Formats: sequence, structure tokens, C-alpha cells
Amino acid sequence: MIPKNRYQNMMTANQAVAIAAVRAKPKVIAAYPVTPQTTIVEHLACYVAHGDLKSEYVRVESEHSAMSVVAAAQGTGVRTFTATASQGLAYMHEVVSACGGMRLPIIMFVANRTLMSPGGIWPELSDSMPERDAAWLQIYVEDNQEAFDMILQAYKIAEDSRVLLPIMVCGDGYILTHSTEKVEILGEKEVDDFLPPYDPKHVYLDVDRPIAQGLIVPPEFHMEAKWQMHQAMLKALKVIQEVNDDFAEKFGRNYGGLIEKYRVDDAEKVLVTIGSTTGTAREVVDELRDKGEKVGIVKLRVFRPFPKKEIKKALKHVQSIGVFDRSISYGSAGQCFLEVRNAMYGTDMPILNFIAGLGGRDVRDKDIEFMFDKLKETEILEEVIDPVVFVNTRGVTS
Amino acid sequence: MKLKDLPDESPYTPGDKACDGCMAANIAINVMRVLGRKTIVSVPPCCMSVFAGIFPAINWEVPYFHMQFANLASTISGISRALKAQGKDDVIVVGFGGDGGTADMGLQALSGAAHRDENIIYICYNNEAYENTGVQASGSSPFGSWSSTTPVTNGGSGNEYFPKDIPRILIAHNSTYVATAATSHIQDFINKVEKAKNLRGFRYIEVLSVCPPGWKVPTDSGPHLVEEAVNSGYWLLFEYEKGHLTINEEPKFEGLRDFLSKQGRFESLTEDQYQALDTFYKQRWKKIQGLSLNNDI
Repeated sequence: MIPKNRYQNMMTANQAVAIAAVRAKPKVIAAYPVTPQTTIVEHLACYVAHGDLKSEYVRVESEHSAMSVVAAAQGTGVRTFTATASQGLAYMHEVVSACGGMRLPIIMFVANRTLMSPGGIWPELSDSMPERDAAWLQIYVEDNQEAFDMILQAYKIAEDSRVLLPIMVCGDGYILTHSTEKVEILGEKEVDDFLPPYDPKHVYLDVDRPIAQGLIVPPEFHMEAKWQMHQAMLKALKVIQEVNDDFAEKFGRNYGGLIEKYRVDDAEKVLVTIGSTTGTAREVVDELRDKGEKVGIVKLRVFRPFPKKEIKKALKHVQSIGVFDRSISYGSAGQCFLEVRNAMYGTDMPILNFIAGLGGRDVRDKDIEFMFDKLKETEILEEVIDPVVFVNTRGVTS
Repeated sequence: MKLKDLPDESPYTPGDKACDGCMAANIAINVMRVLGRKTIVSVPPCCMSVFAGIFPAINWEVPYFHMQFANLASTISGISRALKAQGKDDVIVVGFGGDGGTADMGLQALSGAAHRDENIIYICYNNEAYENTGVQASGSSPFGSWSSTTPVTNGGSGNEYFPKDIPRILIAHNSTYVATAATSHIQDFINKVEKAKNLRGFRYIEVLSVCPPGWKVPTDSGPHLVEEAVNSGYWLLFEYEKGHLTINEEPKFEGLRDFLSKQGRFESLTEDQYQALDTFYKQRWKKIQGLSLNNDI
């Protein structure tokens, strides 16, 4: 049984996420195993079986059905939860892409894992990044505590009447999902207080008030719906910040909202990070600062909607920017890099893109040091010819 | 319930955009007359989603959920579970799917829902091809039939495969209720929908649905053709309930050649193909009959 009160324990992100889901009290959960997400649905099966959570636990036959079950259940007016990774997310993509337009505030955890080919079960963002255009908010977490906290915040953000869009909370596979660290679990009552039971005020399936969802919409009505989805995404920027501030006030953990700045204010060179690598980068920044180098980090927490203004405001004073990506859009560049450069449009800031950690390769201290070193070249070169730099890759000389 | 006692009005309203002589609309009207207004409907992409589900003029006066091609069974499972979680035990959840979405793409989700005995009614209106996209052969299309992806040349061509037997697949899942129906045998059809309505668990009814453009038949020929399909053994009427199989109508095995010859899609059928069809339908009947031997197990 999960203690009802606030407590601390050593746990993986997967366990923290499962307990966060228990605290959020979804009425329907769809479960299908896929590495490295599997232990989430295992934990939830136990919590439901032992009475920690009263929920319809649907052991579906595929991820495609997992997302169909939660989408239809959410459309019938109840809070839902599911989790997936990699091929599973790709397999459910068709259904994932329907949820935003139906304005279904579903919460899903994605244990980031490489998408084949080459195959692998280790961390990479090539599973969730292709979903960036699917009208889901995307939040990337750095550690297990943040994974727990953001599941709860995600429900509050998604269900806000200004947003009403689904959210995927993403965390690096294995590095978070299978590594144990101390997590504070908030108490049931205080979570209920922060996140009251789901009360759908918009459309849902109800025989006393028939409505239709997911209809075929011809060109003469189509664009307005999509414009509204875009507007809701933009409004979510404000809601995410509000929920962050509310959470910080109630529970004392402030993640900064859309981005988190670390030693940026007087920095000359800044690395933009995403996910668990931020922790390593933070250490390296401290070491380099001790040596007198003016370096800092901006951690991307929210990728959709993309916090363009916040990025530009945080980075406009620096001399050069490096952007770390644990995924790449082949033939172009890393997805974070493309967004950051877009945010910096209108400045002549040199920006480099560091592709590292693909397929789960370690991103070591010295790789981060290499990135900051590489940024020095931008002082000599007048123009960055190819901003995409593969880090710690055989055959790549730089 | 007798046909004459059913309410005249159906929660599936008149004025849809179905082709002349489409039997799928007729099936929806009658199923909904039986199920009534305390029903939630889902339709995947198929003829019915197009002729009755395009914004802003739709033909459903009950809550309606349109999802994707491969997930009708899992979609209605999600609706059903959410209703259960809310304690709404008296609301019926029904899905109407075509044969392509049922026998091909949706088979995985259908199998999962049957396996879990989800509390849903699944109506498959089987028009024996992907009619909505312009008549392409599906896993339910008859052997030897023309479609736009099984063209006919000079004999011996058309569809090279025999149709999948979805009811038998679902019986193999030990489903709560599996039935076949025909609009020609309307009282039998209504009885089956009513039976499904009053049961709990996974319920599947497959109804033969004539598609005049796809079958290349006159728009007023549907009802007679379905009757001939039943008489000739081309379409069997049976139901399987809690392990017990009942044959509702013994086929006479009369008039198969006549039945096929009335349809443009069989225009190029060779004698060899006809013989293969004749054998196939007789064997299928024996297989279904054989299932009833297990009734006492």
C-alpha cells in the first residue's frame, strides 16, 4: 500500500510516475508493456489490485488500442492515464494525433527510447520528437522528482479550460526510468487540494446531452478548429507558468516554468539542454565557473508549446549558444536546435548544435566540456558553416 | 419484440447521404430502433462515417464518436470502461464498422475486445469490399469477384482469395454473443439485436449489406438478393451464445448460380471458379454445423 501522507523514498522515475498517477486518480488506465516504460504499468497493476487506486485498468493488446481506450474514455468524461515508449509511441501515433483536435486532456508518460533503425532500448528522443506536431504539449523532465511533480502539474495544465490539450511528460529511458534516487511523494489530501477531481465542462459523451466528437470536417469549417488548437497551445505558455508558481508556493519546488536558467545572467557561453543530461551539464558548469569561464545552462522543460520569448530573453545577452540534442532530424539538425535558432531569429548570435547521446551513448562530463570548448571557435570563425556537430562519434573529427 | 412494435423513429435520422439502395443505412436505422436513445455510438472510417457523419449535418441523435480505421473495438471499449467507472450501467455502447475495418485492419483490436469480454455491441455491416474508397477487395470479399484492385481479365481472375470467417474467429474467442443476420430476415435480425441489447459482455452481429455500386446490381435489388444469399447458403444465419450455437435457418443450397449471375461483380466468373465457390459455401456450412456438435461440452 502507498502511504496516504507525504513521504520520501528511494525510487525509479517509473515508480514515481506510477505513484503520481495514483495520486491523480485516473478512472481509466490503458496498459501495454514496452521497454523501458513497462514497470510503470506493472506498478499500476499492483496499485489497482491492492486497492491504492480505484480505476478501470484495461490490459489492451497494443499501444494503438491503449491510446484508443484512453482517448475514448477521456471523451466520455473521465481522467485517464497511460505510458509508452519508442516503437509503442510510433505505433500509437495515429491515435495520438487525433487527441489534440478532440481537445482531450489525456496525460501520458513517455520513457524516451530510440526508434529503430538501428534498433535499441536505450535513451534517445527520436520517439517523442516526431510527435511535436501532434497537438500534444511536451514536457521533458530532468530527474525522478521532477517526473513525479510534472505528472501532477500536467493534469492541472491539460484540464485548464484555456488549454484542453493532451500532454506527454517525457523522461530519458533507463537514466531516469531505471535509476533510483530520493523522491518526495506528496500526500493524498494535499494533492487532492492541488488537483481536484476531474469535472469536464466541455464536450463529452453523455446520453442526456448528445454531442459528436471527432467528426469529419470539410474545408469550409476545418481551419478554425486548427487555429483554436494553436491558440490553446499559445495560452498554455501562461498556464504552465501559473501552475508552476502555484505548485512552488504549495510544495516548495520551483522549476522555473517553461525554462530553467542556471548561471545564465552573466554568462558568455550557454548550453541549452533537455532531459537528464542537464544534471551532468550543471556539474560541468560549476567546474568551468571555478576556472573562471563564464558559462551557463538553459534547460528546456517545455518543448510544446515552445517558449520562444523566454528563450530569447534569457539568451539575448550571451556571446554564443550551444544546443544539445539527443535526436536529429536527418538532413537538417536537432529539433531543439531548430527551435532555439528560430527563437533567436533577428540576432546574429552564433549557435551550434551538439548531437550527443544517441541510442543511449553516455553523455559524459568531457562531452559537455567539449561543447563549451567548441563554442570558442565561434569567436574566430566569422560564419558558422555547418552548425551540426556529432559529439563522441567514431569517424567524426572536429 | 415484433417488427410492428418497434418505434417508427430511430435515433439514426433520415436524410443521410448513402448511395441509392445502400443497405448499411437500413441496418443502422433498425439497430438503433431497437437499442434506443440511451446509447453511445462509434463509427470508424467507412461508408457510414461518410454518409452520416460529416460536420455539420450528421444523422445521429445519440452521442457519436468518430475515431480511426483500426480501432473501433478499442474505442468502444474505452467508452464502455469510462461509463462503468462513472456507474452509468444502463447506457449501451455500440460500434458500427464495415468489413474492411473489421476483418482486416481492426481485427487486432476486435480480438482484444472479445478476449477481454468488453461490455460492447459490435455491428459489422459486411458489404464485402472497401466500398467507400471505390470498391477495393477486402478480407471479406468473395472469391472470384471483381473489385478495382482485383480486376477481371479473360476468365479465371478477380479476387484470388476466399473471405475470412470473422464470426468463427470470434466464436473461437469464446465470445459472449456472436450472430449473423440478414435484412431479408428482419424479425430474426431484430431478435438478435434485442438479445444483444439485453446481454452484458462482448456481443458481435455481422449483417450482410448489399452495396449496389460495389456489387454492380440495381439499386432496388438489395432485399431480394439478401434472401437469395440466405437460401443459396452464400450467407448463413446462426447465433452463438454462451457456448451454444443455434442455426436459425437451414440453407436450401438453391440458386447460388442464379444469385451470383445477377451481380456484375461476378460477371467474369468461370465455371471452375463457380465450382470452387459452390464447394466453399457447402464446406463452410459443414464447419458451422460442426460447431453445434460442441454445444453440450
